[in-house]
Amino acid sequence: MKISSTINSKPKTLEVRANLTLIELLHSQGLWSVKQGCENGDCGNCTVIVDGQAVYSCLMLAVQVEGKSIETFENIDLSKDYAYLKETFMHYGDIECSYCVAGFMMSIKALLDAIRDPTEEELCDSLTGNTCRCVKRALPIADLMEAIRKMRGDFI
Amino acid sequence: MLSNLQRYYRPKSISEALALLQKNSGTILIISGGTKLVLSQNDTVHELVDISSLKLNYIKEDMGVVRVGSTSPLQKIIDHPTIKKLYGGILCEATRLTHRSRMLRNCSTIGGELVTTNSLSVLYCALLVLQAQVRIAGGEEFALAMNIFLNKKTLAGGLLMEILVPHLKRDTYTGIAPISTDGKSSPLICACVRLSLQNGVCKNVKIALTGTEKVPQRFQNAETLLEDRKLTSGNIELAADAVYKSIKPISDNLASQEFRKEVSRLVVKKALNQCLESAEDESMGLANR
Repeated sequence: MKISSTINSKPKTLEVRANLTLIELLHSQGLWSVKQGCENGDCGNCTVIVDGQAVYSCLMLAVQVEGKSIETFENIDLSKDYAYLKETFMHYGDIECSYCVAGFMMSIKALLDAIRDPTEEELCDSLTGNTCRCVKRALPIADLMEAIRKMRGDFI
Repeated sequence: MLSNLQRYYRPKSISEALALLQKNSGTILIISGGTKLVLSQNDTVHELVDISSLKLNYIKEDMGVVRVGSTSPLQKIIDHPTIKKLYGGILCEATRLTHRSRMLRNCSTIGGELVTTNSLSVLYCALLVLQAQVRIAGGEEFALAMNIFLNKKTLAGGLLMEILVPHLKRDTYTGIAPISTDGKSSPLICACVRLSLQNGVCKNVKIALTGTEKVPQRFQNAETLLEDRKLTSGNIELAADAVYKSIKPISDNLASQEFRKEVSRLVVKKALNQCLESAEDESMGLANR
């Protein structure tokens, strides 16, 4: 089957099998930031943004994204605004392997694309589908909020 | 993962979708969000009909009824201002409890949730007490009351079009009480309650539980017991006891029958107490004006 989608701002027309999942399609395009995890909708390692919504790419068929826009971690410019978020994750020592970080960042990006100044509650809700196996304590929500404030140029 | 899937159709109209479903029944299934279907190891599926372009993704108010299109994502229902305002938050909370994960709620649709529901469906439980109806297209269009749909749960080549949720009267109160093993995962048992209060007397009481039997159930003995009585702590206790006495819960690896029976009493009491607190808050608010 042929599908036409926009992947990381580039229009693409691709030939896919009917049962190919979105994560398999993205891997075939060399987008390896999308990590294979539980394949069960529990871990969030495969999170990508489809038409502005964070979704699990392992639970979606490639044919479902016909005409849609897909964004992966490769599309985030870590040298600019998202540098603050990257720093927060880097300095948060409990995340040891970083396998899950791309998924977390995509969930936060989907939130920030929709809401300019999210509350702590909205941030926590946006991360309900992501898990990190390494963390021994709760995620650094306060630090992430601080990074978001810095991104928005609010240096209080 | 859908290893025998060969064809994928994107019908542009409901009649086209129905024709496909009726022609190939047995090896053809509907896909909308796809979160449950893609996850399933269903080797019998050869063809899929994608209904996401049938314009069934809507929430609108129409003559005292809120109409929710079957391909509306769960997150859209949670975020919708009308739904937040109309049902005392019960429908929003039930939808949120259906999937803890935001990503699943972004994809999963209300139609998919209702058609593939299992013994634990908080959403179904809430829709039962709200006396929602479903509209199904297939040959001719018809509506089924939610409890009938729940027990028959067959579309027989038809297509679930929309869910109709009636507006609640101003003096109606709702309560929802979930219990989960760790407070974070999906609830094990959940009670949903709705009642009207006229001069402090209960009318139109609806009590439903999910997670205790094969499908969510209403408890008419407890409802009758509260009907035409004042909503007091004593009567709430009586209604919770009536549920406890009549319930015959399932037992599985998650919880024993005894545990479920005991917890059922607690959650019903908690949900009814929420109605009582809301009514008291409202009367205090009125007195302060």
